[in-house]
Amino acid sequence: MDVILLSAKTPKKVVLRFLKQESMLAVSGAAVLLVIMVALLGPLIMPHDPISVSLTEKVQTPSFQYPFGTDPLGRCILSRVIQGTRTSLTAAVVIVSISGIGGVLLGLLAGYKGGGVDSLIMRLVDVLLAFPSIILAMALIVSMGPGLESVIVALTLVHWTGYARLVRAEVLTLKQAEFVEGARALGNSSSRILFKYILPNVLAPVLVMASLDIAHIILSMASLSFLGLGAQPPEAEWGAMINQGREFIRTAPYVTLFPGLALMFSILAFSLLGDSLRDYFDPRLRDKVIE
Amino acid sequence: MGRFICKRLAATILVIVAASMLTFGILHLTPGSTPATILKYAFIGLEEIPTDAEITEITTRFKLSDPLYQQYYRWIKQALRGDLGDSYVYRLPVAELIGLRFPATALLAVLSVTLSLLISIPLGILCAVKRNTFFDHFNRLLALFAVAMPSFWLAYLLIIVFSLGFNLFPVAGFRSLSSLVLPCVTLAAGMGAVTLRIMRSSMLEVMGQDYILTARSKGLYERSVIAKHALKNAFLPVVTVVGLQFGHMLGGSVIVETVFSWPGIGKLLIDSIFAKDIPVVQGCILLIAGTYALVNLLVDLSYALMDPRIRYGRES
Amino acid sequence: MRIKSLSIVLCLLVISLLFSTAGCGVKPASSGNQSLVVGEIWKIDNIDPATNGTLTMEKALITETLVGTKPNFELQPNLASEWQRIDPNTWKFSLRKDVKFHDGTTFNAEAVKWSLLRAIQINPQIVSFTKIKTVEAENDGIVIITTSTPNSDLPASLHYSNTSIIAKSSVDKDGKMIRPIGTGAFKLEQYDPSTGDLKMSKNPDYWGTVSKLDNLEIRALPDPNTRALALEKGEIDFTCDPPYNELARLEKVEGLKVELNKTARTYIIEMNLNEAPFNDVRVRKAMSYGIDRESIVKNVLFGCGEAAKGPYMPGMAWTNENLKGYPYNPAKAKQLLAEAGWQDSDGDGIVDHNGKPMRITLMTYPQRPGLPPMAEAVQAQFKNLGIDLKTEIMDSSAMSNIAAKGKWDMKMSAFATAMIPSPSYHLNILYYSKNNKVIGYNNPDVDRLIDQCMVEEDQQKKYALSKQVQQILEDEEPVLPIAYYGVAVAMKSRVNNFVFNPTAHDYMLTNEVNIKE
Repeated sequence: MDVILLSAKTPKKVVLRFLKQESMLAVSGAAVLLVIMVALLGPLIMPHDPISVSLTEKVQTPSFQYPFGTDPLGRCILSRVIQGTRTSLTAAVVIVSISGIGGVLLGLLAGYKGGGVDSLIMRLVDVLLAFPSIILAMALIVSMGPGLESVIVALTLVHWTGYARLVRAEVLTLKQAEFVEGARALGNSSSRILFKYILPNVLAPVLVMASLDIAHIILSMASLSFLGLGAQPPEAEWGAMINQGREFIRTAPYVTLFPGLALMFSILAFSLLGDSLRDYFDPRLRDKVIE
Repeated sequence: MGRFICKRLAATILVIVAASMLTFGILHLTPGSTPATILKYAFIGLEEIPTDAEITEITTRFKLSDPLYQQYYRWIKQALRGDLGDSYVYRLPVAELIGLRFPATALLAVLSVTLSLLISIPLGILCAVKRNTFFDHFNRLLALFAVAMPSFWLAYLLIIVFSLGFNLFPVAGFRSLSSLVLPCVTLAAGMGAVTLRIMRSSMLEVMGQDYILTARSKGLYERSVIAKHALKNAFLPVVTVVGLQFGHMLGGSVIVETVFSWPGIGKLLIDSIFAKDIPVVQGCILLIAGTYALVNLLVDLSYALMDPRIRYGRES
Repeated sequence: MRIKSLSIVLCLLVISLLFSTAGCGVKPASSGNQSLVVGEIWKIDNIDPATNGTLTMEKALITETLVGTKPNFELQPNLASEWQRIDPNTWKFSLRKDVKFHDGTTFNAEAVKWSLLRAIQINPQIVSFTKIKTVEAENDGIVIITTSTPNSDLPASLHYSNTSIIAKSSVDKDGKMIRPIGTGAFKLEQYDPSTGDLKMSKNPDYWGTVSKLDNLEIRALPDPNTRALALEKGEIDFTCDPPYNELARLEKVEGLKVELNKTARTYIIEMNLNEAPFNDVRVRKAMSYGIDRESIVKNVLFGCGEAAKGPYMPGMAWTNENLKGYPYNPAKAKQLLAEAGWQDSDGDGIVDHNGKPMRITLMTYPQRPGLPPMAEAVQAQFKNLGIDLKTEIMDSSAMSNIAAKGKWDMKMSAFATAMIPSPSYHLNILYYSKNNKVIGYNNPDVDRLIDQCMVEEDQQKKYALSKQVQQILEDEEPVLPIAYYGVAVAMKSRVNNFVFNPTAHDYMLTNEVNIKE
């Protein structure tokens, strides 16, 4: 790596070298960017209104007018797939931000304070991890009533545990680090040490986890919508679209095919980005998989 | 070691009790709706309107008007005596009901984990040995896709191709052994992909270690280096992941069981959550959290057996 | 190496499993003696006739009730040969004398008493229907039933499948159901509680015509795709409601036939009449005119059903066939909305009244596959009227919980109109002001007519009163009828003598059904 950097002369070459060296990062970054662009530009690039029903044009095969065909209510599947990108991405970002920030704060607290606070938070984590998160999320949603809002609340409540665990472990090691000891010796307050010295050092792994988590959340959300617990019609959501195509898998498989492809592409993009970010931040861990 | 196991078991039981409290609380989040829901699912039919008299009758019959903590206390007291109560909907003892559904789930779990191992372990080893060849890249790409593929969507693709297209396997249900194939493949794909990646990276790590280099320098054949020295140590992280996967599977794969109408624990749990069949939900949660914790414990113990450097019970 | 040999063994095991099983799904369902395999549309949780009588009576033909119905919903004798009302609260039922239970014991008044009291104890719904207070055996052939309040619908409610009469030997000494032992044309041989499959054999001592079928088998196949495929593969002989979009394709398959029928169930939209805008009859009429029922039936239900004009489908004894309904007329709908003060004054495409835009929510549930897409179709059609409708799909019990709290706009359901085959029963639970406070319909004339209909003894007068109520309902449109529920029955062509009975909940088999040789 050093040799390569030394031999690089112009900025253009540096960029090229970087792309070559970190090709996975570049490719996955581009894929994620594509997903984000589709979500942002959604209304501009949709060929049709994603929610306007036209019963006479129901389940039409892909054509020039409807590149992905139409769904059982005659809506353009391409437009709905694009709208679905907006739905999934927005919800995933909201969930990751809230659960990420909450989890990081609780992890900092647990790791730094230790003692009773630590065991309280960690036992809570243990309880939440005692059974598959999707089951807990489902029970919550059934009780709150289905809908995107319930999904967001439920997934936020089950997803913060990962961050808390990660940050706590990092804090426990960092607490002993010389620069933290030094900062403490200089009389810095606890909160200052936490936010000024420790937090910046845990951000990289948190970022990696967040990227992997977005992939995970997009999948959980689609699964919940597939079971009829998530997004409500006519809202376009990939899992709900696949569920809607259920009865039509024989006569119109494209109703399930395209939302599934979009779902897979997004999950692939975000999990690849997470993997390559981790390699980038910590080359030692290259090829390792965090579960 | 014995002390370690005891401590772990005690902690596990506490966690499971807390988990059962949590689900119990969640199911009662919407107050007052429980008797009406039970009526609709078990007695009057989904689309009928429950009358006040019916609601009163169900409330008293299942003692649903008692404060929550009393209801929970009653349940846990019974459960500790080994009685999980009767299902509201199926009107069978919960233990019997779970006994009826568990074999289907266990069969699916064993077969799909086996299938995933049969494919992923050899492929993972080969990928590591032949790293950065076309073979390696191809399989890793395949694994990436398999990880990213939502199980319900993969299930539909398989159904479209193999059930509807080639007419080889049933679409859903569990009546003949051939109906095992599609759910098994669906589950094995995701699990196998993860195992493959772990197997590969763990092999690579082991193969970079000194003792492998020494073995090589002694002039041993590459094949015997891998078989005799590398494999054994590379299996450690794989055991963890496979153990956890298996633990999850025994609790029933909710999504796959739903898509294939598989009469297993996952489907039972989901149906019961909807119907507010609380004794059944609680029973399933006990089973799932219990298996999960047990598998975790076994994984830790097998670690100690496979890696002599790890010994539990001494550190504290 | 150990691991290697282990993996080889496992490999062989899996491969042999695959090969041994791949072919076993495709064998014909019936062989040798006559048997019929039915693909049931619901999952089967239990086989207690007191809670799942529809299965044991209408589909498995194991149990029977005291009272039967003709296809036009008029009552007829069944296990009871005749009945009469002695005083407002007392009824006398005479029983058939030639009936035996499957275990050989005689069907008599004691058995009826035990069976009815057991059912009442288990299922609280039966008391709400029947109002039964006591059941006494006067002698072997006569049962005296008293009710807690006068109930002219007692005979009709004793048609309901959950009141099926079973023998005492159906339960163990703790009162737990072993297996239902009834009087029907088939005896239960085997029940698999993990899959919900039932196997029956014919009852050679049946009091009616003994079935030509030797065996009847029911398999729970709740997934519509599975049912369609199982029928095509020959695993089952008979089923109902395959995916509606496949009906046209299935019809063309050699050796299969598809029938479209209607059953006593209506897709309706209920509205919260306590709140604006639904308290204005003009708005309700506008909405009714704004729904293109024909298009919904054709495109959403794939022709399975019929555009509804009133609460009851045509062909029922008390259906008011003179109703005109609300044919699709968006222009008239907009005009009615405008008359009620709802116009798009700010140009946002949504009508408003006193500055408040019309934004409403329509709830429905997914268990009937036609409902969610139907709600979306209504949403699109309302959009043309300038009504902003939001749909919410939820569990049906969650829907009624929300409605019961009073904070709701509209809900859509597939409502059974002859659960009890009586001209007043359905009107009474849905439109009587005291019974349905949820929708808040309050019309003293309707209440009075329903009261009269309930106490009237003469069937023809009962029907006339019911028809009168239906006319008022059409004028006031407190509930929007959308479509009559269609049932698509698909079976092998060699299934013989199946006649669809509209009184069925889904489909009803009879002792006449058999297989063409």
